[in-house]
Amino acid sequence: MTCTALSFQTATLPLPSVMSLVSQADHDQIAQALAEYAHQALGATTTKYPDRVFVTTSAGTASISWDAQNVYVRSYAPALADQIRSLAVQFFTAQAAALLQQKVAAWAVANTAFAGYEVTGAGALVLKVSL
Amino acid sequence: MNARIIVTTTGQVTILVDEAVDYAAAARASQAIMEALGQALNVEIVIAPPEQHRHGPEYEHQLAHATAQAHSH
Repeated sequence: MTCTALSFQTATLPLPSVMSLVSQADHDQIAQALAEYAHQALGATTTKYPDRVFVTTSAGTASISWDAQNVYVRSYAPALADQIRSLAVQFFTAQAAALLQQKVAAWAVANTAFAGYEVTGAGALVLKVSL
Repeated sequence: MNARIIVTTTGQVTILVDEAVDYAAAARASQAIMEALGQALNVEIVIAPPEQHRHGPEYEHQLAHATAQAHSH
């Protein structure tokens, strides 16, 4: 019998606490969006599961998984580790911010004298309210 | 009083009160909004004095842009 040892590097990334609000439906969307993001950013081949995406490039394979608190990056190729970690940080920061914008907008509509909204060129959501 | 709740792509929330006459009242109102938001979203909202805000250049850029737009309307 031949045993093959796989080496890997692991990084644990704290997520903004708003990610704890992510529903199962959101998780499914995250997997799909992350797979597309990795494909576009790295030209990677991806395989997605509800809480995990495998990313394969010419440098090797890595996995990105997540739960309510953390994102876990496991790279089976040392050369890929930093690249995948950076990609994960960028993706989940954007996801968390987009989710926060949705939640705050829904709250503002329901709880204030809401007078409209706008999105600035820099991507900030501006909600006009009366206090 | 009219206000703008700004949520940047870096995940920070800022309340900008327009033309506040009573600054103490504006500060109380904006703090109440922040606390209500934190409870509603079940997330921790840390309220720090402006001089202690350290959000980085991307946040500062987006806030400046949003503030400029608010003042131009």
